[in-house]
Amino acid sequence: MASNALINIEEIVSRYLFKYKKSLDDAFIYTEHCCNAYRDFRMYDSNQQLTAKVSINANKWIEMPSDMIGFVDLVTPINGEFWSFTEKKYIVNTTTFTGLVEGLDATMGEGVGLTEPRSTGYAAAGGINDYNYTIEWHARRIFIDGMSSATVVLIYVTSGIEVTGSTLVPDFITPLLDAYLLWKETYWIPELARERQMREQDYIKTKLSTRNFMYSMNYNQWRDLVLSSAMQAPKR
Amino acid sequence: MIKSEIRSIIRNLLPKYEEIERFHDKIIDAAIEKALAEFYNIVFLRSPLELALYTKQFGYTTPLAVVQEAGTTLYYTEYPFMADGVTRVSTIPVPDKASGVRRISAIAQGGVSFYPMDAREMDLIMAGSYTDYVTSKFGYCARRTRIEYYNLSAAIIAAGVRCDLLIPFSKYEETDTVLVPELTGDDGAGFTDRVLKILSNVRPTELYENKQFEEGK
Repeated sequence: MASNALINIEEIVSRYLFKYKKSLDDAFIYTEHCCNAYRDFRMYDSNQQLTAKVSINANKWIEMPSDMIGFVDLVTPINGEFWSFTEKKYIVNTTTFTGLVEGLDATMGEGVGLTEPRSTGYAAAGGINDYNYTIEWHARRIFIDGMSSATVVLIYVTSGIEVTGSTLVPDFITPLLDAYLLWKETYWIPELARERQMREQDYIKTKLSTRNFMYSMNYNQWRDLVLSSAMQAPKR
Repeated sequence: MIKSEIRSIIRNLLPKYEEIERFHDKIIDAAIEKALAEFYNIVFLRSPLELALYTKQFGYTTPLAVVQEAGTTLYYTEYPFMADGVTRVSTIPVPDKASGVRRISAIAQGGVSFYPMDAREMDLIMAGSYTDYVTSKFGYCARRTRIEYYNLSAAIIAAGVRCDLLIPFSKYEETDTVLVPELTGDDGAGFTDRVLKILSNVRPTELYENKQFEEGK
């Protein structure tokens, strides 16, 4: 049995201090930077996303989860597969208060279903989705068209830093986090300032190798890709 | 070498003006303390990790208590007592966060580590940081008379801690082994040379007619 694939983010810092013969003086500073590095990894490099069931309320919007920092997809299960909603930028996203109660005013177009017909006839260009959404980041809501008072699935990006419980990170990104710490420490250790650019390059190189590891495809994946674009035909 | 031997060496290296030495033990100790503190700081500049070699260990047989201050809710440990049970040891400040508190450990070896931090860092971490979410590390802040803690677990609070302190020469017991860094300056001057140089600037104490020391002079 080999070592665990997931390790606590604090272990990354402890191992870093150990490997690079650092004093314990800046352990907490390194921890903070390590969290930043992991957050950046989750946002820009990783394929780690959080999939959560969310409710569309009667007013046809979803309250974003408090840890959502990036949107990936909004889907609903149909026949064992997720069916993706389509982004429609101009879905009306205002609301109307009646006294203290927030609701929708149809005269302002709030909550009114889109009238775009499904095109199935001759020469119809493409398909038109029954389900649409628009995101309002300021109010942290996702407004929905085509569905209300239902449960759908939201796929989104988080910082990965757990507020409760352990923050576990993949062990294979240890070199990436190490390279990030080696780079960032040049900002507060004056004698390392001249190494900053070199260390930044190291970080970028390590990031590329990490991405290669995550996204390179094996033989079967390549074969399936090729076969998926080939048509079967009778052999004559 | 134990403390009293170091003092004895210095006393015997001092030039003799009369048949009796004119330096009080406390004067010699103060000179040794100054030279030793300088040496520790030189060692620190060379390699901070090396300072751990010159510490005195406390709390290994009887743990040092961790107590909570009612007003601030801070957990802290006061520096331990010397053998007289009255005087507490102090530390030699060196310019990093650990200062004279070079290491703190749980009573049982392994598993947990304590990390030095300054008061500013403690405030900033607790004011909202990723670190505060994820860390199970224990922080400690070396203060003038005590060590303050961040994020201590209930088990550690109950069990107490042990620590390795860099203490001044005067806070060693007479029979304690005192480790002196083997350093020489550009002029070839070592530890004893430095102490003698410090003492060379001190006017010998005047003696009573009976050749006894007169305290306060």
